[in-house]
Amino acid sequence: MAPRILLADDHTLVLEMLVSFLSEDFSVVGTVRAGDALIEAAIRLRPDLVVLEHALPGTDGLTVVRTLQTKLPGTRCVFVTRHADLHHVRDAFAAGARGYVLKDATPQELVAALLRVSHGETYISPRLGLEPNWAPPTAVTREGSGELTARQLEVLRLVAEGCTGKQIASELGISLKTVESHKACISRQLGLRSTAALTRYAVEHGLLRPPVAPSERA
Amino acid sequence: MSGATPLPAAAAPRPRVLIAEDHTLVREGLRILLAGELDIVDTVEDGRALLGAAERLRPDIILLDISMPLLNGLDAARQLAQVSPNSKLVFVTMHADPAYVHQAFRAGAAAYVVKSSASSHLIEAIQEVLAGRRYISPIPGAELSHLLSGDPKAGAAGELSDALTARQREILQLVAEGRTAREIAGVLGISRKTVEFHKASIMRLLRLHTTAELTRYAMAHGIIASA
Repeated sequence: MAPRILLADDHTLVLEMLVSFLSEDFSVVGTVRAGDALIEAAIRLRPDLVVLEHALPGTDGLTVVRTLQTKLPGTRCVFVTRHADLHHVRDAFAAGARGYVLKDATPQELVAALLRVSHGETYISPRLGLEPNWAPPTAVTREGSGELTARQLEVLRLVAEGCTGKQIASELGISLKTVESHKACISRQLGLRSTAALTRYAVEHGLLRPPVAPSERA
Repeated sequence: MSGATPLPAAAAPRPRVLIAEDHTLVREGLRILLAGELDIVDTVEDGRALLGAAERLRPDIILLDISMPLLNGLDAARQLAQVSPNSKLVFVTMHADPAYVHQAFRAGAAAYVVKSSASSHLIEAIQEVLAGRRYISPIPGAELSHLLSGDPKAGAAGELSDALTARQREILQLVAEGRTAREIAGVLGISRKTVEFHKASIMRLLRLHTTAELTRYAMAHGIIASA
């Protein structure tokens, strides 16, 4: 019997596309556009698989996964997402997700990934560039999860504000070498290689606000 | 997939469509959705590839996203007016912010469809555009009907970044994507020295001093995606 799958994405257009990709190999039991609706539908329908995105109106994707972990331990959650940074990947697996597929995947990769997860394997899109032996953190072992330390967050914020290494060192009263080692550590943990990418990450995660939002200029 | 009326009958030559979208799943989804009624002449995944394909193929319709690597959809649209002036531009994007809708029409859009709407709205958009009209999919809380008639370029609605030239915006996007001067030179087919000259003029013009500040400026002005 085809695995029963419940789909969630806040973009209706994307949801319709997912249905068209998956309806041959899976039994699509429902489509929802918000986090609360997803939890409610999952509990009612008890699907084998839940496909979801990080950003969902109401309850966000990670919270949904954590909730379903306790309420429906037999249901496996897979993110199908546009977020390609390691922080999101780690958070997803730490919450209890079993798969992580980028929206950059082909429809064939998506089907294969979901079939593997339905057979009990975990799946991570190869484009994320993780080493083959990278073990996703589970809900039990949160060790090595993507959370940055308070000091790392400070360094990241100052980098994103445009401070030079020297300025950060004097601001925090540490050596330039220590600043550089923090920065390297942050880059490695987040899988982000450039100052520009670190800055985007910091803005997107609310560590600092962009100077002007586009809507304010309308 | 939708209850919308079918597109023009098979007897007429099928409209030729070019799709530009960086997420493969969405790109393939659009292709599958539209291939029955339209002639999908090519699909591309970034703004620069879009310019090349549009010049080569001169499609009737171009579906394009706003956030795309190498060259965003809004800046691509302005250049498409030169390289393929008869192509009708249909934006298909996650951005529901009215500022983006204004900018899209000022850049030459014929239609604007948010990804939160159903595929029936995209079909409707394409029908309207083929009939020579403009279209905006419903966006909750936004009153945008004035963009459907008159000159969308008129009025003082949010411009991307008045201070910069097209070339400067192109370079700013590539800097904010974390590319080195050498990579940028390769993408644009200019010398590294020219890239550095442009970057320095952008910094002087905007009174910004670091790559981090340039990146934040690019995010705040819709030159690269801001989540």
